Amino acid sequence: MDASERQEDRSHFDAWVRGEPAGFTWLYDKYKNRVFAFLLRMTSERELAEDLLQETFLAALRNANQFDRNRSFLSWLFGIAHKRAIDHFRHAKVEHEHQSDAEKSVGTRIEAPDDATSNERMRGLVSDALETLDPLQREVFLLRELGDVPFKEIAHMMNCPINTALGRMRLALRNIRKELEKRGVHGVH
Amino acid sequence: MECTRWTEEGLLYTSGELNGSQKEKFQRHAGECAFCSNELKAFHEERTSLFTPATLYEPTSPQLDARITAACTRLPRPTAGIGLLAMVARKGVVPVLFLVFGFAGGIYVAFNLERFNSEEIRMADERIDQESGIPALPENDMSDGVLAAAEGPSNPTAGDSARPDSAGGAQPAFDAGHRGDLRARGVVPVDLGD
Repeated sequence: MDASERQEDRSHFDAWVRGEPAGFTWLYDKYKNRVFAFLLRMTSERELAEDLLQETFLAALRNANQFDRNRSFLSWLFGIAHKRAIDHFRHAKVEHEHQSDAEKSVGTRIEAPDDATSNERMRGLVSDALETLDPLQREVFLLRELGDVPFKEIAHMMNCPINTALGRMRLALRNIRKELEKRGVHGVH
Repeated sequence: MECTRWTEEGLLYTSGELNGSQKEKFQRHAGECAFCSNELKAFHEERTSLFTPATLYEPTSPQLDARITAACTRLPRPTAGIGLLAMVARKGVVPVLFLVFGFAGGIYVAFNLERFNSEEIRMADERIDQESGIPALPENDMSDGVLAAAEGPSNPTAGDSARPDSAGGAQPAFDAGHRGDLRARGVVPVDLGD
């Protein structure tokens, strides 16, 4: 994300905070699918992910004065979404169950897209590969690839050293490749 | 064989988190290290063919979009300035009340302390007088007495006339004057003898 894009995000966010619905619409349309994908893959429950998506955008508005203008809006939004998801697991005291469930629920809760087109087939394969990842590896991968969150911030969000975050990302990439190779996708590495 | 610099620097290179000199250093390393070079190439290929919006993003439903849009555009918006003012107002209420009441209390105490002190001094004087057996005089009489004392014997009647119990020639004049007044008001004095 370059500086001009960040500036554009900031100006739309300011417009939203001033009460202009166009500012919200612009940001929501731009980032909703990324944030929703992150929440859906974190929770594996569509309804819950929808509620958390709404909470994320509302929290962004309520905490507008906490937005550091030197940061990327998307990273900040993902920070909120991540916190919401983690808070949900903590409050529901189902974090452990979630992790073991996620390991068992490969391709069950998230609907696999049709294999009609190659894009959709690939989408299903990537989705399945992500489901097999260790939850912490998946978390780092999603924050990085969907949220464009820097590793330094990921480490801060996950309360771990940056080398741990980097190690999880390396393992996530390796495991995704292995899973894709199992499913017949070769030639990436 | 795996190169540790891929994890330590290569991933940070891909995320754009290396500064200028670190970036150049890793680029030089990747030119010489087959592992890092392959990883870098594979990662770029994955990003362009696998980790794309089409494979990673999840579409939201129109109902959800409508619900969230309604919720997020209906709320009263805390603009930065108003938010700051509101925060100052919220957090400043207690200190301001504390200051106002403290100031008012200070003024009250300052004004009443003087009165309290003078009252205290007067009561202490009375107590001393009582203990020493000197009868307390009404303030007017006392001042007259002081004046009389200051004027001295040149006008002896000035102080004595004000004291009914004082000895001297002024006593009959005082009695006569009083009796005259009483008679004028229809009160007849009864002589009780000696």
